[in-house]
Amino acid sequence: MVQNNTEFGGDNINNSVEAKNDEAAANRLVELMQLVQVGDRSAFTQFYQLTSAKVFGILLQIIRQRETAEEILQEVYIKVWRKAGLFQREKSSVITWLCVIARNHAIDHLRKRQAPQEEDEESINRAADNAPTPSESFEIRRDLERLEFCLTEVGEPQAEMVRHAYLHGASRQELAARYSQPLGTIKTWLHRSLKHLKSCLGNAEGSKS
Amino acid sequence: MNEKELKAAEYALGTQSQSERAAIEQERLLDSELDAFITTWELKLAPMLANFESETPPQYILQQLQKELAMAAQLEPQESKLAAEQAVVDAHSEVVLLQRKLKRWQRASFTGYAMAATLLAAVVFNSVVVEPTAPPPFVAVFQKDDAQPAFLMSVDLKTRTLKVQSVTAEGLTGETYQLWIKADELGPSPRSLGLLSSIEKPMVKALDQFTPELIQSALFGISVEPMGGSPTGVPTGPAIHGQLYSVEI
Repeated sequence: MVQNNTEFGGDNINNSVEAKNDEAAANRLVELMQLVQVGDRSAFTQFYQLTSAKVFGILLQIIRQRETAEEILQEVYIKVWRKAGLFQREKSSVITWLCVIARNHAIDHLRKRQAPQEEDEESINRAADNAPTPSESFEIRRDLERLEFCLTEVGEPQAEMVRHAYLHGASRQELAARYSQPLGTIKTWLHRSLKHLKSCLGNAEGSKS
Repeated sequence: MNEKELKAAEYALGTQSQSERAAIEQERLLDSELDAFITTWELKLAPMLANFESETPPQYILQQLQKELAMAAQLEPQESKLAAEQAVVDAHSEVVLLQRKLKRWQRASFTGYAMAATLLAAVVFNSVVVEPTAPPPFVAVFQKDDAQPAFLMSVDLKTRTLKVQSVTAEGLTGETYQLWIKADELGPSPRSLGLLSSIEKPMVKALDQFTPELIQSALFGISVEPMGGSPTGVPTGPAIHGQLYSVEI
C-alpha cells in the first residue's frame, strides 16, 4: 500500500541525474529559507509555491476535511514565517523540516478536536495530481527503502500499525479500535516496534558507511 | 532505549493523547536531551513523508497569506524582528559563555524557591550604558547546548524597558508564564515583573524602578504559574526542571 508511489518513481540509470536535480532543488529551498529568515516576503511566496502541494497533501490525508486542511495550511505557513529563524540546515533538509512541522500541527489539531468531524469523501479518495515536490526523491527513496526493510522485520500487524499511525495520524485509542486490541497491547506493540526500528536502522546506518 | 527516548519516539510517531503531547512540548523546551531525541526520531521516521501524495492547494490561500504578512509587517517594527532573528543566529556562538554563567545561576538563591520551569532562553541587551555608540546587541542563551530558545528578551538600558517575546514557547491552557527578576540589591527573593498574558504578542515592561547597573547584573527567569500569577509572590510552578541560567554584561 505504501511502497508504490509514482512521485518517487524512476530507475537506477537516472539516479545520478535525479540526485543532481534533487540537490539543486534542495539548495534552492535553502536559499529561499535564508531570505525568509530575514523577512523577504517575495522569497516566502516562492517558497510556498514550491512546497505547499506537499504540505497540503499531508494535511489532507491526516485531517481528512478539506476546509479545515486549508485553514491549517495557512497556520503552518504563518508558523514557518514566524519561526524560520529556527531552521538549521545541518540538522535536516528544508522540506523535511517543513513537513514535520505540518504533520505535527495536523496531529495536534486532530487531538484537540473534541468530537470526530464528518470526513470529506473527496478528501479521502482524492487522486494525486503529481504536483512536483522538490528535493526529496532520490535520497528519500533510498531512506524509505531502508525504513520499509526494517518495518518488514517488525512483522505484521505491527508494521502496518506504525505506517497507519504515521500516515493517518492515528492515536493509540484509534489503533486499539482498528486492531481490536486493548490499549495496553497497542502501547506495547508501538514501543516494541520503535525499539526494533532503532536497532535495525542503527545497523543499516552502520552497514551503509 | 530508555523511557525518555521511547516517549520522544512515540511523540514523533504522533500516537499520544493531546495532554501527553502538550506536556512533552513543554518539557522539550527545558530538556535538551528530550528535544534531541525528538528531532532524531522525527528524522528517522521522515522517509515515510514520501508516501503522502501532493495536492496543489487552492489559489486563495497564498493571497490570504500574503495579505496577512503585509499587515503584520506594518504592525511590527522591522528592527525588532531583525534583532530577534539575529539573536537566534548568534545564540549558538554564545554557548560557551553561557555554560560558565550557568554555574553562577545555579549557585544563586533562586533555586531555594523551587523556581520551576525557567523557560527564558535568550536575552538581548542593547548595552548603551557600556558602549554609547550603538554597539551590536549582546546576546545570550539561557538554555544549555544549542536547544531552541523558548523566549527572547531584549532590554534597552537607555529607556529602561524590557521586551519578552515567544520564539518557540506555546500558549498554556489554565496556566500562565510569569517573569521574574533577581538581584542582590532586591533581597533574597526573586521579584515578579508581571505575567506574559498572551504568547502571541510581546510583553513590554518598564523597569524605571531599577538602575541600569542593577538591570545589567540581574538574573531573569520565567516560570509556569496558575492563572493570575504565583499565589505566594515567589516562583511556585511545577518543577519540570531546575536548570537556571544567568546573564550579565
